[in-house]
Amino acid sequence: MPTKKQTGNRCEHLVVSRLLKPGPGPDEQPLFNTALLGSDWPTLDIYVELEGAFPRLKPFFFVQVKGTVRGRDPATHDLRVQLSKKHTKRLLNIPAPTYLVGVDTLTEEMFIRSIHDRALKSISSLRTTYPLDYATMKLIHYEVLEFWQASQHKPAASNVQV
Amino acid sequence: MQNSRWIARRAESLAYVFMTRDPRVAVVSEDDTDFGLNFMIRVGTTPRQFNWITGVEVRGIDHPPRREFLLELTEDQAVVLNHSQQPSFLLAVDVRGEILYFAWIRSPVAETKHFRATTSLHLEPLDDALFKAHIDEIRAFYRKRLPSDRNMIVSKAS
Repeated sequence: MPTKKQTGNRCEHLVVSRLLKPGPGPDEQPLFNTALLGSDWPTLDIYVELEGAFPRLKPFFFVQVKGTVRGRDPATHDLRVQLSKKHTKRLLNIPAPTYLVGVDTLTEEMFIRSIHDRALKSISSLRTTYPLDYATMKLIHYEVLEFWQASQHKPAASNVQV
Repeated sequence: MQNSRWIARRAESLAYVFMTRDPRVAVVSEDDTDFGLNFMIRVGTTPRQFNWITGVEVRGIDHPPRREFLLELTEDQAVVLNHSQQPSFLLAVDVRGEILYFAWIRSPVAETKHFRATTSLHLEPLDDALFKAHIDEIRAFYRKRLPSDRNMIVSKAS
């Protein structure tokens, strides 16, 4: 019987292998580059950079991964994963795009949602509207790029400037 | 991202996910040094089988491989393998086709070879059933070497 940590690691590798999946063409490259953050970062599991040539910084986002063996709710078809108030708040406080990926550990299906709405308190289940497939990953690539193009990457002033 | 880095990372993640579909397999450590193998996995499921460990080297490829695979080892990796008693195997992972191929590096049953900088290995396409059979072989190897729980109880009683 795998431990909770082993199941968590497995889910993270499932998500990484999906995020690194290339496009459907024979020579297409992946949309993202990933780094697993390890257990020292309890709220964030994966740092993800967009692939491509960018004039300034490489746009990035963070992913929190939640696995479940309980599958979907028979009535709503939502994936039975939960995100506590504490972790939801922490994700909302990060000044970069953040996402929750839910993994059904038995079927290896993965679904994603953005964590950006300040009114969000916690998550008791995950809608399966957005499977983590290539079409969804293209949507995310586009919105993360748009976010960083519109953001100011550096403060205008500093208390320790010389 | 450099092509080679992407291939290596995706191969490792696909290998991790594939291996851990077998509930008897637990990844004990992941190594990114030049002398170790990529993974050490435990194939034992009880406390007495705690040290039933196997080394796994993962190589990513972005096309289907030939049957004969030339495994290039660093000098240190060859030293590690030549001084190891544990079974070990190679997983070659086609990261585009998501197909895995298997070869023994140190088989639990065959005569051990001496490892050099390059070693030619015979690859076979891998599926869940074949992987399970190979894990059975490793478990049989350890079972032969170590007294089982039942043998211990019998010998105590007698």
